[in-house]
Amino acid sequence: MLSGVYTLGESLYFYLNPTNVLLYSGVMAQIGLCEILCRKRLAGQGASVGIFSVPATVALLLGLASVVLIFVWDLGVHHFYIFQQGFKAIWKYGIGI
Amino acid sequence: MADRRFEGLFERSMKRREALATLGAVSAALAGFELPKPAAASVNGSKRPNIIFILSDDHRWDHMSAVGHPFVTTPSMDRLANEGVLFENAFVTTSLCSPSRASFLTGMFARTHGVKNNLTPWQNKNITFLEILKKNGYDTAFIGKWHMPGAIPRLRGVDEFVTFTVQGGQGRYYNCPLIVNGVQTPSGKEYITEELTDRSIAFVEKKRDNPFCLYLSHKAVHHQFLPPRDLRHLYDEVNISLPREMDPYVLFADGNLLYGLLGPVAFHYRNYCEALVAMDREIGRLLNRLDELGLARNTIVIYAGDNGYFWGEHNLVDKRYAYEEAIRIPYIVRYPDLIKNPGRVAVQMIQNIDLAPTLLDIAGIDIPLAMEGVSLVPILKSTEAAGRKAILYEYFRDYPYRVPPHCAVRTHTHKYIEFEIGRQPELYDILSDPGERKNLMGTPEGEKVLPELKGMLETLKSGGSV
Repeated sequence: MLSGVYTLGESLYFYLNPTNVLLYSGVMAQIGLCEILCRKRLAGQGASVGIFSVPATVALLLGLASVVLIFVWDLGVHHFYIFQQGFKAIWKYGIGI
Repeated sequence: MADRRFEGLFERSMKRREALATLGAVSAALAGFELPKPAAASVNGSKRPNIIFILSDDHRWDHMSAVGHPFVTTPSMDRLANEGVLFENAFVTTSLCSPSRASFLTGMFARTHGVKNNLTPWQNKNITFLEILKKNGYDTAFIGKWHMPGAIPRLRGVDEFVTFTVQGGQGRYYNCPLIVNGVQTPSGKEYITEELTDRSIAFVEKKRDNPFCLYLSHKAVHHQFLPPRDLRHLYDEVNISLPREMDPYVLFADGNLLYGLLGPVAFHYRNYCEALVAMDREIGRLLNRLDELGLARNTIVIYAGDNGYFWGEHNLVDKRYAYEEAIRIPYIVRYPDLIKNPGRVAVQMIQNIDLAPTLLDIAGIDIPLAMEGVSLVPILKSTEAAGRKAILYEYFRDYPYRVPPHCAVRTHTHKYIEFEIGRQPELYDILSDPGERKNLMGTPEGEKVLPELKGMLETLKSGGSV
């Protein structure tokens, strides 16, 4: 339906909408957290690993920051209008109008 | 000196101020300027009326106690209905904020005024009824939600322009910064509906010689449906029954997350109803002030919504589609000097594009040919007045929502919907199936009425009348 109503470019841009970005951010934070937890468990079993690796920590912090920015900041309303401004900058008010 | 009279000028007595004004007018006319001209007498022959138009956002037609809502109480709207005419078949031409608002202002369809979705900018060449009223000697104010894309315009013919731009022009329920005549100004009241009412009352209270026109455009009851603090739990104990066709997971499906309704629908619905009660209370405050000022009799008050709203009907939320819940709006007109049998329900089909011609007609001003709506004055005067045989509905793409562009024709008995892409046509008998659940396309009953409906749709789309 999305690509039926809108052009391919518009449809691809859709994946930057707040709910999708929230999903990516949440997954990224989850990956970082899981990595840290696994490392903690390995360390507990005597393995010689640092608990907070740089990629895992960055993923966790960036993911959480995005979740806050997108979802907690007025339930994504602000992000939605930023998303729409981006759309207008590229396609004005939409193709076929 | 001010009272000194110039005897003999134009063979009648004249005050110095009047004489200067006359000389100025003649000079200006000779220089080719178009002067503001006073309108002829109003439609009832009396002093030109004041006008208050109150527009709400996403207020569905059946959410008023006047039309029998099971628990929402709206005494102020009921009062307007008891003292005026309630139009029970009022519709928008496009069920979306920006196009509908532009249609109210211009008396035109979206395809004509150009604001086809919430992204297309307002065109300054559009002429609003406020501009025409101003040219005819009215003091005018636009207070509230403008919400049309593009920069806030220098709206011609508006003396006082109070609006907001935050959240894409949707505004905020709490502490919403305002733009007052182009200047950013903090809100005086915490809650937006109260702030807009305060400013409207201040405008109405101003001492003036001219009649006034107030366009009060509320944010309520749009998403995020936030009521004021004192009404937050008003309907906590009410058992909400949602439509039977509603899938509880619909908010997570088909792009509906973008409507911002995460969480239980009943929670949002209660908030919606509470925000509505708050708005009704503020309308009451404005009406009471009119009474106190002695202005009620010669002031036409019109209350309307910009479009309806789905709360699970057709397994939908939001608006846009051509079903009744989205296209049907509350519409009440009170004007004691004109409506001789108040408390009446009008069954004729009317549309948002009828507002502008109606107000001009009542004020005794010629209706521009470009306006596509019709004056409702005959219906306000008489129950027997003829109404439309059919109305046209149109919806255009509005990114990022997945609603396909479509158009529809609605008569008193049927509705036919044609989608540009993605969905097959739909046909409903709205008398026997008011919930529009049984698509009659391909059935013998449907085949019987389809040719006429298709013909009507084509005629209306091409600008004709049926």
